Amino acid sequence: MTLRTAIKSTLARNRFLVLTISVAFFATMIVTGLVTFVILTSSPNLVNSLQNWLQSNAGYVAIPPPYTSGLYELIFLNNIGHFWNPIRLWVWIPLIGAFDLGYELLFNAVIIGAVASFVSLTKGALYTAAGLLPHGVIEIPAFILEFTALARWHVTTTRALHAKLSGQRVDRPRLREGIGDTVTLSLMSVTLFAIAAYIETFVTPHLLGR
Amino acid sequence: MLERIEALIRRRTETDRRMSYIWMIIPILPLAAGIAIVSGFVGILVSTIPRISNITQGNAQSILTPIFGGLLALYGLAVIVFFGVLFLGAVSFYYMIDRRNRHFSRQQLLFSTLHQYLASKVPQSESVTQLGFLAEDSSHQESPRPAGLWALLFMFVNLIIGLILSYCLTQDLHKHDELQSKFQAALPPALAEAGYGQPNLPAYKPRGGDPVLFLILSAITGGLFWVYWYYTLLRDYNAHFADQARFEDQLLGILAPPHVTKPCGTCGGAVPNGAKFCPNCGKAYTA
Repeated sequence: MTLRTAIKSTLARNRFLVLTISVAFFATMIVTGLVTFVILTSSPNLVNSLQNWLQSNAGYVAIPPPYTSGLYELIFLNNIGHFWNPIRLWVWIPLIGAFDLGYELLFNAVIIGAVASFVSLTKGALYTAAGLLPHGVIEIPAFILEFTALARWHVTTTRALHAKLSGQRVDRPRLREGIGDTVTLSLMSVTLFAIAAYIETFVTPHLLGR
Repeated sequence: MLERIEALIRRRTETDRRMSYIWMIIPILPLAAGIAIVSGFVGILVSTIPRISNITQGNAQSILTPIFGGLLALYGLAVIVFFGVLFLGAVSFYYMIDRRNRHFSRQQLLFSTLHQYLASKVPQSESVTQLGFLAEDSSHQESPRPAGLWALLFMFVNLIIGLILSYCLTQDLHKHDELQSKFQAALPPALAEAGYGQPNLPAYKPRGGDPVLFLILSAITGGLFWVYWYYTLLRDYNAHFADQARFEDQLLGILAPPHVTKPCGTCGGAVPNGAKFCPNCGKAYTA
C-alpha cells in the first residue's frame, strides 16, 4: 500500500470523526469570536485595559525572538508534545480521558476565537488575517487531526475493553485497524504541525513587519 | 388467532409513539442558556471594572447594587434553566424508554402469535421453527427498562445518566433492528409453506449507529455532539416505527382474508369490517 493510499483510506474511514470534531471546533470558535466582539465593542475601556495588561505582562513571558530555531522548537514541541506532558497523560485512558479532551478542544476554540476578535479590534482585520491565516490554515487541520487520532484511540480501546470485560471476543482486525489509524493520523498531524511551526517562525513575522 | 394478530397490529397506535422534534429543546436549551449566561457574566464584569476604581463610601451602594442585582438575575436564570432542563429531560427520557418498552413488548407478542399461527398450519416446517426461536430470543433479550427510575435518575445525576441512557437506547434499537431483519428474512419461506403469498419487503436498514463512537464523540466535543445524538434517538425510533407499520400492513394484507379487513381509501391500511374510522390514519373510512 502506498503512502498516498494509506492516507486516503485512513481519512475515508475517519471522515465522520474529522467532520464532527471540525464542526464542534469551528462552531465554538465562531460563537466565542462573536460574543467577544460584542462585549469588546460595547466596552472600549476594556480593550484599553486588556492592552495595558498585556503590555505590562509581556516581559514575564520568555518567548524566543522570531526567525530563530528556538522559536521553531518551542512552537513545534509545544504543539506535538501537548498530550505527552506527564500531567496530561491521562487523556489516553480509554473513555475517561475523552472527557478531558472535550475540555481541551473547547478551551482552544474559545481562546482562538477570543484572540482573533481582540486582535481584529485592536490591530484591524488585515493584521489578524496576516498573523493567523498563513500558519492557521495548516495548524488548525493539524490540531483537528490530532484530536481525531485521539478520538480513534478512545473508540478502538473502549470497544476492545468493553468486549473483554463483557466476556466477548475482541475483534482483533478491527483493533489493529484502529491502532493503525491512530498512528497514521498522529503522523499526519505531526507533519502538518512541523510545516505550521516553520511558517509561524519564519513567514508570519515577516508579514507582520517584525 | 388471526384476530389476535390483527388486534396486536392495531394496537400500534397506542404503543409506537412518534416523538416530535420539539424535544430537541432538551439539548439545545442548555447550550443557548450557557452562552447567554457566560456573556451576561462577562458583560457585568466588564461594566464593573471602570466603576470599581471610582468607589467611595458615599457612592458604594449606588454602584454595587446594580452589579449584584445583575449577578443575582443571572444566577436565577441559571437555576431556572438548570431545573427546567432536568425536568423536561426526565419527561423526554421517560417517553423515550416507555415507547421503547411498549413497542418491544407488542412486537414480542406479535412475533410469538405469528409463530403459533403459522405453526398451527405447518407444524413441521423448519422456517416456522426458526421464527419461534427468534420470537424467544426477542423475549429474552429485549426486557423492559424501568422508565420511571431512569427518569428520576436523570433528574438527580443528569449528564452521566443522559449519556448512559442514550447509549442504552441506541444499542437497544441496533439489536432490535438485527432481530427484526432476521425475522423478516425467515418470514417469507414460512408464509409460502403455509400457503400464503410472498410479502414484498424492502431490505431492512439497520439503524442506531455505533453507541461507543457516539459516546466518545460526545465526550470529545464537550457534549456538543450529544445534540446530534439526541436527534438520532428521536429520528431513528420514529423511522423504525414507520418501517414497522409498513411491514405490518403488508403482513395483514397477506394473512387477513377479505372478510376481516378492507383497505382504507385514504392510506391503504387495513380497516376492520364494520369500523367507521381507519385505525392507521384516523380518517373516516372511505372505500
